[in-house]
Amino acid sequence: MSEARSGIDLAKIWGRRVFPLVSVLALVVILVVVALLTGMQEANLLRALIDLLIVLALYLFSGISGIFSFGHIAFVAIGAYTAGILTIPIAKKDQLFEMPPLLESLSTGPIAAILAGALVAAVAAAIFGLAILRLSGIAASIGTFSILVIVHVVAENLKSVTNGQSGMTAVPMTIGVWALVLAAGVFIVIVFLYQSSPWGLRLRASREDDVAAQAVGIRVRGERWIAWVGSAALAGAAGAMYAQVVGTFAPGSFYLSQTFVIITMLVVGGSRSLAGAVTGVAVITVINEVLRRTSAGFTLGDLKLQSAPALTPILLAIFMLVLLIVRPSGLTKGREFTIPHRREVAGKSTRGRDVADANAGK
Amino acid sequence: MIVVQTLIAALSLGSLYAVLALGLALVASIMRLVNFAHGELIMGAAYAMAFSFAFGPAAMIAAALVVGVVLALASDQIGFRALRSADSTTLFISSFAISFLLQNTASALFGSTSRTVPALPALSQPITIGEISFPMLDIVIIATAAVLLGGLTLLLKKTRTGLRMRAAAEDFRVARTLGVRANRVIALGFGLSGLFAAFAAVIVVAQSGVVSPTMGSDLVLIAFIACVLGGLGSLPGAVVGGFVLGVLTVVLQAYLPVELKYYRDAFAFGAVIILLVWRPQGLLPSATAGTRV
Repeated sequence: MSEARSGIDLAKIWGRRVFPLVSVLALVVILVVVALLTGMQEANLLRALIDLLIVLALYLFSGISGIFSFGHIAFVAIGAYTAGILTIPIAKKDQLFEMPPLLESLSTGPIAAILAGALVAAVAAAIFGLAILRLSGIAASIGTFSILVIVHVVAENLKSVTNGQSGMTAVPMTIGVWALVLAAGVFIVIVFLYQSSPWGLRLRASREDDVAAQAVGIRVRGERWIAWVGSAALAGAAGAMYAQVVGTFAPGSFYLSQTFVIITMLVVGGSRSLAGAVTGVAVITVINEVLRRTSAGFTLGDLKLQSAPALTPILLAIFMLVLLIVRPSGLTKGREFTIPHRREVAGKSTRGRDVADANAGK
Repeated sequence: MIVVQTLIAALSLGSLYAVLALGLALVASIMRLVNFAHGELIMGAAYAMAFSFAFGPAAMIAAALVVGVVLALASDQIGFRALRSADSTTLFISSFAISFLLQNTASALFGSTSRTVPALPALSQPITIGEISFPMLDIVIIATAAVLLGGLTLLLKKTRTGLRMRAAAEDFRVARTLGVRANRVIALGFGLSGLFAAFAAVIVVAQSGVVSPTMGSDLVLIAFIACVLGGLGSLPGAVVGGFVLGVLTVVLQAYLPVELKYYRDAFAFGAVIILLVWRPQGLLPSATAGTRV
């Protein structure tokens, strides 16, 4: 009897706790291998993996709390500049920039730079969050734009630290594809552990119904602040890795168009699940890649097909508009990956969730 | 004397920001949509001015108005009509996509570099009264904004159409059950919003003399912050938020030490964040803001 029960429990744990995590991790690895085998350019693959890290960071706050942040690219920027300052060799800094001696003398390895990027971004978010998270729902989303603007203005003008408009150069490019895959794995595990933790569950409760969550004693603002700071730390770490992937960047690398790409990825996949965040990055990357390869032009019989590179963002925007109308909760509909043959058992709870969705829409 | 000049500059910028914020608030008050693409309505109207440059100022303004209103109505039909029952976050993201779409379409059609429109040279003449000197344009901007605000107030308070719009802003569902046509009142909101966008475009083009595909982004961010500062979804709030942000910006520009002037916008946005800590619902919150339990 007790044996049977423990057997059921194991299956439950496998189905709910392990499978969603393992499947997402496996998906990332499989996609990277496929990308390498099909000859995706390394720069594009690196870019996609960085996007994945940023989307995972954004998901930790926006997906779980339901409040979209348009300021996360600012935290990415903070992480990138921190890593840049810490890793550019001192002799290069002396030659290229006019930094204060204290900043110029700082020098760390790549991993310490990532941790520092996460820390600085988290501190900035902790301060901004005290104000922004007092706002309700959509006002908070819009308030996050002010973070984007403030960080952008500072990055453009604080020449002694950021080198102004010309940006940072000569950051040692020490991070490659598999290091980023490893980082993505770490991010996925962190996000998954958080979303199934008591903190994550309380925040999800507030996403579904703010008032009801408060009524059962959840301190919504505090829970949001925790996720906000954690999410900014991940974004900062992603930025620090970005700096060490590309080597050169400027304030323009961290503004509205980048924000749009990240938001699109999260929304397309489905902002309410970890699987959705990863799916979104994968789908948008595949679309980008297809458009990029066809833009070189290929012949089909007598027909020469060619798509202009300028069309890519236009097609992405149209894709997103159509998807928002046809499938507003994203490709995954906000569900984690489940074991296929258990679908029927899960049918009941699934229907329940649709009803919840319909209620939320009212 | 500097004080008077600063005051005129502050009023002028405040007027522009109020027009920007009102354009956004007109739609936000009715249908919970904070329209990110509002900046692209301005951009479209500005390009209309650039292309009708040969036909004189009146034609330019007319072209701006037509394009502003048509773009606003079209974006409602294409992007938002199918999303009437969606939540405000979905609507906002949809408007973000429309903004991106229009911006990239513009740079594909007209090129991504900015082009100059030496619009209305008569307006940039300085006026000198005694020791005070200020551009004629500032007075025109203040007057335009005053006329627009007055006209909107009359429309909302004195006409049946205005009553319907106010009812829809107060409680959309109840207004519908009382016979307000939902799509018509929303279209009206969008049309007026496009009109305000067009006037904002006229002001901005007259001031700067350049148009570019990305010109709308900075403007819409200002409008956002002004709306949130005033109280999202509130029309008087949008006006107040716009003026507060405008005055704040000009005062910072006038009194910040030279080496900090570049950070003017960062200071202005930072100050807004601090104001919001004090009043999270905004300075003049709308009656429907916040959750009623």
